Amino acid sequence: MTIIPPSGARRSGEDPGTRDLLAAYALDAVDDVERARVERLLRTDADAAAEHVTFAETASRLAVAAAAPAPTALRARVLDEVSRTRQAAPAAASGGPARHQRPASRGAVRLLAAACGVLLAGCIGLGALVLGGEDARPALVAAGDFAGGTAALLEVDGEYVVVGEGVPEPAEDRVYQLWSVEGSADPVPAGFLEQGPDGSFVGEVGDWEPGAVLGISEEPVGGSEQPTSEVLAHVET
Amino acid sequence: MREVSFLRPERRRSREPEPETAADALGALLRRVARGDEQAFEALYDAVVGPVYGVVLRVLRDPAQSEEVTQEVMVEIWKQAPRYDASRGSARGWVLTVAHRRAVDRVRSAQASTDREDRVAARDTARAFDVVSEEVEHRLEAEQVRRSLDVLTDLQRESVELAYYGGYTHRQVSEILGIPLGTVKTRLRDGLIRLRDEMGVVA
Repeated sequence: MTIIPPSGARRSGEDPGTRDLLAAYALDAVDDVERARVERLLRTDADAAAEHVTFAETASRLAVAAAAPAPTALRARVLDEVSRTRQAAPAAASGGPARHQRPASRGAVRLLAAACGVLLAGCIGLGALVLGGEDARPALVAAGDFAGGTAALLEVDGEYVVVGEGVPEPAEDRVYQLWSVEGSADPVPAGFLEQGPDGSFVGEVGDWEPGAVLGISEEPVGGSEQPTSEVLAHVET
Repeated sequence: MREVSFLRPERRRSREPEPETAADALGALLRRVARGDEQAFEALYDAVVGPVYGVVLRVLRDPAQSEEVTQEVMVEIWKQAPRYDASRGSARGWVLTVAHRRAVDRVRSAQASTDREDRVAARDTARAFDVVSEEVEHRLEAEQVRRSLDVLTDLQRESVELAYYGGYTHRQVSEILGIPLGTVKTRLRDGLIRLRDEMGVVA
């Protein structure tokens, strides 16, 4: 078993797989987890961000080609709602004063929260499912490869949820167990993933602190004290 | 394998240049909207609601739902205008990105509970693009975009249309077409690069 410490974060521009998703991303043809991966790349890789601008502009012209006359009654309804709706505050300037401890990680959470708030429909559904509350707006903290699919770590009001997409079912009498790993300490059991109604795996994370690495392994039903098989995913934050 | 193109077509700069003044005007309107100017918002609404409603309708197909989503999108534009960052794309591009994404999110959240049913219908959706309404005010540009789409191979075009107008993920496109995911990614990427170059989009 190898655990990658949180400090071993990948440098920007080293993610060709994600770079290949830029076109699909501009067409909104990626899933929530891929979307988060691309958005992380766009924040760290100026070259990718520049290419994205041209792709997004191209995609938006496909929308122009689909233009159709909107129902006339809609205008008054929109203007009426707008007159009763408060606008958002401008995005905070970089390096605001309220930042403390792990600025990069918290900044990422905030940025993703802004991006994900209205966009991650699937995550919102899952987050609401797990954490309750219809207004739950999970922020994607991190994502990583997991057993041929992807694992994503979501945060809602200080609680953490892991979602696995495109992941096969574990073998019979086995479950996916979560691990929290801080530095070089032994992994600490942090809960299990359960299969949700749409086939993806969801689990609430216990005993996990922001900044720790999240591991996932396949274990006998009931769980283990320590991972007894290969750790299939390391979600770095 | 005509659809796999490794050569980027020569970039055709300003073949039919985007009307700079219109783009500037929209950006200026959006900056006024960002300051809470409701009159500017009315003008912005009139300028973009056709493509917004059109693309939402193309993805969702249901007029009542599309009207609802268009309203959400336009109110969202009002709310988020103070956060629009011109360095990350044109004002119109931003508005239409919000619109398309909202439509796709609506499709996918509906799918999460009902499971995907009618894939053939989606092909029809993509095909329906061939019929661009004559009454639309963005007719000229629509015509130009349609001509640009002609530079794509049939296979590239099919994937791009399923993804964008069908609202499918690349994984779903690969399932629908029965082709490997990698091939879909290549078609989407090569297709979008060709379109971009044909349209003369520059960063």
